[in-house]
Order: sequence, then C-alpha cells, then structure tokens
Amino acid sequence: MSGSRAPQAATDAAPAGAAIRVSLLLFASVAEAVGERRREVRVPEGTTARGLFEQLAADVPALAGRADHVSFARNQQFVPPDTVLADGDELAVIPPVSGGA
Amino acid sequence: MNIKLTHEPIDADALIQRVTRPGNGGICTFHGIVRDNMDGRPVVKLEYEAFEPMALQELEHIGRQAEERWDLSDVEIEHRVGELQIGEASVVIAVGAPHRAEAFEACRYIIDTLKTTVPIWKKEFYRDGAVWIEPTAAG
Repeated sequence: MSGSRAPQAATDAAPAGAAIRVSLLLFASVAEAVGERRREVRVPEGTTARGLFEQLAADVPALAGRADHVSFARNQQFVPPDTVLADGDELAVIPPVSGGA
Repeated sequence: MNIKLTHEPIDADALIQRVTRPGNGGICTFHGIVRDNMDGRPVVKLEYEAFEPMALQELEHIGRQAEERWDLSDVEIEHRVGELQIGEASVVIAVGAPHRAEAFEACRYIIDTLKTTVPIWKKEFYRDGAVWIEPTAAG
C-alpha cells in the first residue's frame, strides 16, 4: 500500500471544490471491519476506486494493507482499481471470493 | 439455462429432473457439500453471503461461456446463501449434453470458474470463533 496518499476521511461532509457522490457497497470481511454494508460518501472529482477504498481504510485498522487484495465493481461491472469514479456511481468493494464448495 | 441464488435448501433432484431429457445422452452433476472440518479443524456451520445481482450476472456469464465452448443442451446452476448446516448443499450444478465428455468438462469448468469469479463469500464457524474464507491465490 502506498503511504504517499494523504488520508482524507470519507464522510458526508463535502470537501472543498467539486465533489461527487458515490454509494459504497461493502461485503463479508470488509463489511464486518467497517460495521456497515452501505455508505454514501462525497469525494473530490478524480477519486479512483482504489483511492476511495484507501480513504475508507485509513479510519479502519482492520483494513490496513487490504487495498492490494480487493477488487472493485462499479455499477455491477468489475473495473480496474485506477478507474475514476463519476457522480452517482455505486462502487462495490469485492474481497477475494469463496463461493462454491 | 437456469441460474438461481436461494436462501432455501437446494432441491438437487429437481435440477437433475429438468436436465433429464431424451436428447441428453450424458448428465453430469456437481454437489458442493458443507464439510465438517477445514484441514482437520471442526466446522460447526457455514454462512454464505452474495452480492446478489452481480453474482447472478456472473453465474449467467459462466453458463453462457460453457454453452459457447461445448455442445450442451441444459445448464442449471443453483447456489445457496445464508446459514448452512453440515451436510447441506452450498451449490448444485447439472449439465445435460448429447455426449458425456462435454457434460463432464463443462460441469468441471463451471464449478472451477465460479469459485474464482462470482461475488459470493463463505464464513466458517468453529467452536471457538469464525472466519471469512478469502483465498489469496487462484485455485
């Protein structure tokens, strides 16, 4: 995990400048760590999927180091971590899957 | 093709009956069963959680890929979510094809691919705790 990104709390408070609204969907171990399954956030334009996860993880010790081990789905389609989010997007954080048997 | 996520016990016989048709010379099924241990550590129950709309979409995608790759007549995939007890089926796959080779290969492909791409997660409960299973490498 890169330590260069300044942590910025993903809260409902609008950051300075242009902001977008994103619905964050959380599952399994990530939902448990955060204590929520869904969170509405406002983040600056240009925020990436990974960047949003890192903001979330900054406040949750159990998520430290997890950014390289989760996948992302934007509006129910898998996307690369560096995908830039748009206003109104739904971003699902997908921990390693373990369905089947 | 019939794809389903269910909170109720899977009726495997119903899946098998649906793919048992005169044109199908081979029917192959896979039943994933809740095992009573993980590497010797007793497991008391499991819980499966799914991102349901996307899991359905991914299961359909896998089914379509199998149909494109092999000569199949019927593909049925049903995955359970929620709490499961030891011995219950977590997933049942039934594939019907004119010939057995295609049925075997497609069934194997579907379960192997499902385990790596479909947003479903398993939590194992032990006597003294529980853990989400998160494979760190494919396979």
